Amino acid sequence: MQQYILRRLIQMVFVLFLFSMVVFTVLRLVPGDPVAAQLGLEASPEAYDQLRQEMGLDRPIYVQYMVWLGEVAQGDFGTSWRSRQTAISLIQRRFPATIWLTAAAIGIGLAISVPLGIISGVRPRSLLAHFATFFSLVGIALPSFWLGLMLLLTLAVSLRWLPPSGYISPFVDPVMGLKFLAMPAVTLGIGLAAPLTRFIRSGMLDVMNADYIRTARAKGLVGRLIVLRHALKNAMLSVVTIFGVLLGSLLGGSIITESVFNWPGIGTLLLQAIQQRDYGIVQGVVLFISLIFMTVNLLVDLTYAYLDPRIRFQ
Amino acid sequence: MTKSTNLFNSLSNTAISRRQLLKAGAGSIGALTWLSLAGCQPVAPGVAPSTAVDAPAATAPSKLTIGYDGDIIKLDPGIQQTGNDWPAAALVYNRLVEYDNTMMDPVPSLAESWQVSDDGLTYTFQLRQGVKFHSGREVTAEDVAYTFTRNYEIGPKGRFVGYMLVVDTFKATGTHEFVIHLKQQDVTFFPNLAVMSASIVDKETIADVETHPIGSGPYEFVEWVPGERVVYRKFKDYWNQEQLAQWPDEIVTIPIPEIQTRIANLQSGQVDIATNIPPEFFDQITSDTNLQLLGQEITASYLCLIFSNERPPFQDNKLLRQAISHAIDKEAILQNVFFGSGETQCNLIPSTHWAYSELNCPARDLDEARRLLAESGFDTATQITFRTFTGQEFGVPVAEIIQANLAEIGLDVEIEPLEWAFYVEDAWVKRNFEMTLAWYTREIDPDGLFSSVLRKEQGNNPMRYFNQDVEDLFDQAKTIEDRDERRKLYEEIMNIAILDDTALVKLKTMEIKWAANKKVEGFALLPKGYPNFFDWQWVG
Amino acid sequence: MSTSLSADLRRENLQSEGWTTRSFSFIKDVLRNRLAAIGVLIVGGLLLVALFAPWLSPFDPNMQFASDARQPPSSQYFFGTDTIGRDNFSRILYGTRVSLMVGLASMAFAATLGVTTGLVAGYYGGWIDTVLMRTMDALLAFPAVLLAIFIIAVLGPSLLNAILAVGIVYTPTFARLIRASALSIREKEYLESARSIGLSDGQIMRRVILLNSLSPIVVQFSLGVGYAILIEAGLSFLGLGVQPPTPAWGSMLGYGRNYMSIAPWLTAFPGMAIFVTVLGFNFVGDGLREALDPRMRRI
Repeated sequence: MQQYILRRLIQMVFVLFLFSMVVFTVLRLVPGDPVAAQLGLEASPEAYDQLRQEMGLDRPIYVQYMVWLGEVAQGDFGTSWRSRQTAISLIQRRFPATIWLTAAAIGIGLAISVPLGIISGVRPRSLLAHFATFFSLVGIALPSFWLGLMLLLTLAVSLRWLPPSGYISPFVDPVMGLKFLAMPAVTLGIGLAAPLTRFIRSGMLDVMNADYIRTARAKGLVGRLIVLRHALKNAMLSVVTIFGVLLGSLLGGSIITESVFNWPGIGTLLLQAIQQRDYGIVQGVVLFISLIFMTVNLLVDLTYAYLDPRIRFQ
Repeated sequence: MTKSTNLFNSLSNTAISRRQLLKAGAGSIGALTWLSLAGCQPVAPGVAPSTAVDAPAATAPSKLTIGYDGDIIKLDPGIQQTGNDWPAAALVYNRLVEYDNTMMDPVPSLAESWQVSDDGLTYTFQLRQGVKFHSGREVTAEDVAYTFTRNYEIGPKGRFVGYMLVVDTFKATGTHEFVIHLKQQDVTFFPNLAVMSASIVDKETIADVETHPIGSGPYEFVEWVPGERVVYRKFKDYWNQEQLAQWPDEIVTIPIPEIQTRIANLQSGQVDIATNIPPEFFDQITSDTNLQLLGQEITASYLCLIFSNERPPFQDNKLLRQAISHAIDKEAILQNVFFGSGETQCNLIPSTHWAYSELNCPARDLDEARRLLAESGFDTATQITFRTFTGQEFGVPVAEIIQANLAEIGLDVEIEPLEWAFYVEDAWVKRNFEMTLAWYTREIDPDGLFSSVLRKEQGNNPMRYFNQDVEDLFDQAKTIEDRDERRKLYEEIMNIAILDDTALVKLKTMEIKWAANKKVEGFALLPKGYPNFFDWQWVG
Repeated sequence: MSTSLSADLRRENLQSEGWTTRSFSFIKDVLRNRLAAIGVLIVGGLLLVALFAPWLSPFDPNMQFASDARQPPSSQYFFGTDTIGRDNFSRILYGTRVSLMVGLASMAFAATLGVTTGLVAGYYGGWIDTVLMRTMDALLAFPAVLLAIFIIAVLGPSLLNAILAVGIVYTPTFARLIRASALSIREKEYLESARSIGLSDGQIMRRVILLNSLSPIVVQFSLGVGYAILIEAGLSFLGLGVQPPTPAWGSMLGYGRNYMSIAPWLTAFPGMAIFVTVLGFNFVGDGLREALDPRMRRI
């Protein structure tokens, strides 16, 4: 087991390294540099050169990379040339918003998909099952940003029930915080629930058609409790299985959702930083996201390896 | 099998359900759409939620919150570059003089009085006594001299030197006397002393300018939480106590880049003022009884279509440029993209300005355009590239309208939208363009308004337009005090550069509008679109 | 892999027939599923719209009727007009071209690149396999939208680059699919017999492995089209996709978003278009999957 962990950790470091190099290079290939973004139209060419020098952009790229690596090793993920804030402090400030959004979305997603998925798997001909399938079909095809926009249009602009955008931590102000959180979380949550419902349902169907269940049923032994227990266990297993993949789509979905609702999270931070060519922030944020992503995946895989010894020896 | 293969197999285990579902499904989605469409009327007047704050009249409220469209970039007035940095300089510092509402006749500030020598080359300022920095130390002429010296050292990275080109020497000639010598007579020089980069800084605390700026202005800097807020608090020992009494104890600026959020915050009372409202939202503001739209009387901002003189097809082809200027439908641009805000007359000087004279502007005449096009000899099979920027909402729609206009006279125009940062670097700094849009926000004095656009190799002249007659006229106009005479000279410049040479086509003046809660009274916007923090009475 | 008896029999029966009979039977299988039939109708309709847009559109999508800007839907302008006076309905019809092009082309790109990678990795195994699949893993590990945004940021926004970006994002999916298939086939007798006949590596890869893996590829392809269209719409919404004045649903949504309170029809209709298109392709994909792999049949 320990060897497996070690192997995975090494792999992770290697991939992160690769990522950072690619991100670094790619960023500098993006046309337009931060000096242009900052100074705008009315600055003189000398101002450009001076600022470029100040930011170290005139040095060769591998030198810049080495410097950056050194900084990362010391825990400095990069600095925004704009506000002189470090990437870490900016991430720290924006991360809670993304966490709230993601957590709420996962909560909503699970709350919808687990019951729907289980019931539609156990009773495939019921009305609820049909609804579940319809829901997942529609939800998968629906562009999440459109759903978000439509929610905005109805609930915020027309009916004025909810504020169109803004954020406050629900720890600080629960009522307002939840009001702000409602629409983005629902948007993201539905996008999550749709494929998840399908997945859980199919897992359920697998279980229900498994031989031992059939046998038990044929013998008349299966009561509600057994079904439920099996069902739940199976559903949870399904969720854990695709958690890694879901996380990826969640991260991607949250960038767009954050953009629609102007949610002050990591997603909009990244988008703004790309627009302003704030290299330090982009690198720091991408590195951070990759780190999180891989850690979660690692944990999921470790859980699996723990549960299923066969996988460890692949 | 790997996890993912499991996943794929499992995903494919799902069955498809029945047709009835689909009907129900289509119905629901349709319902959702129609609900949102039907539910959307223009905002009914007077339905804005009532604001929580109820300040008693006549006394200044404790806090004024401004929702800005972006965060500040730098706290150092010598290096501040964007309009968002304006409050940080305007509130925390004083300058020798400050802008009045027209930005042309500055009012006394740190300088109590001044004299100009007869030859116009020497300005002597008597500084106010007893003005204190926030640290407690009294401001002297030495501090003014230090500020000037520092700004010269900062050089082109800041904006100061660009405004002070005509300055020869400066000196503190007494504890409260400061003298500036000019190289030559220049009537446009004096208002430049009110620019934010001329903010008088404190030598002793200058090391902390990026984190805790100290000035002598009406407000002390409290904190900047990037991305969240900047807080300023009233400075109790400010020299103008009478003015201070009418102002709020605390001013907070909050960056809210997204326009609908900004407006929503204004409507709900979380901010008192929202900056930079795009035209499509004017209706929303004016139909709300709690809000008012703040504008400028004169604007120093305008939008042009500019042509590059460094490459074909516009290089040395005056007739082609004239043809285009006859084909553009400026009214359509004004109405559809800018909702009628601004004016389309072709003089770069706005019609409310003293230097304005009515020109013989070309009306939209497609026949004339075609005639000029034919005469120009331009081969219409050649494609013209029109570079524009994204990031500002109007960048692309304006280009699309112009493209359609030019197609009507047979020109094939391809639009190339560039992301803002790339646009600035490539199209502007490197001057890679054939035709493009230029949005200028300049000074209010006519020379400052457009000399850097039309004069040889100036920063706002990426077209590289040059005409010696125009140069001479500009030089001449800078030395004449009489406004009528100056006006005539500028009229001549317009006739040559705009009507004849057609170096550019002015599309419209750009108005800048803010929105505020009706409780904020007397809050004016300067011609450049910045708030007039100097000549402002808050009526609570 | 277990298969149901009847399906196996049916397949073996079919394999002894000519390919036209097999195709017909196959199509019948697909259409047996009602939703798939609807999906086919939708996709077919979209293809027709894309092809015949010039004839179906009442107006030129770029024609600006300056005085009719921001009109709500009416009998003249079915879906209303946009802020500079262009007919929304015509623009939506033309937008079909962009969406279909991106969807199909990016999947073609992803399939080609992915299948080749997966084939090589699965067949040769060893360090080639490790290197290739680790790269695929890394790509897959990166959130799709983020990766696409990055690629576009470097290459610049355009139709072609959107296709490339989405294609690259989806390549690992195909690669893994084929590789799994290749691995499982490696263990079967086909390979031995093929080699003993004297087929070359390339031929084996193509004829044996690829042909036997066609069904999952096709299924994944059609499901991926919907996915690609969604991602492209997202990119256009953020301003990183197709550039104006070419009408594209995503950018129409992004652009109309500013005018939501004044002109909600500018956001409602493009969104519906995207939704219907993706739904259609998903139905077809599901239907294909059902028909091609009867083991998956469920009620």
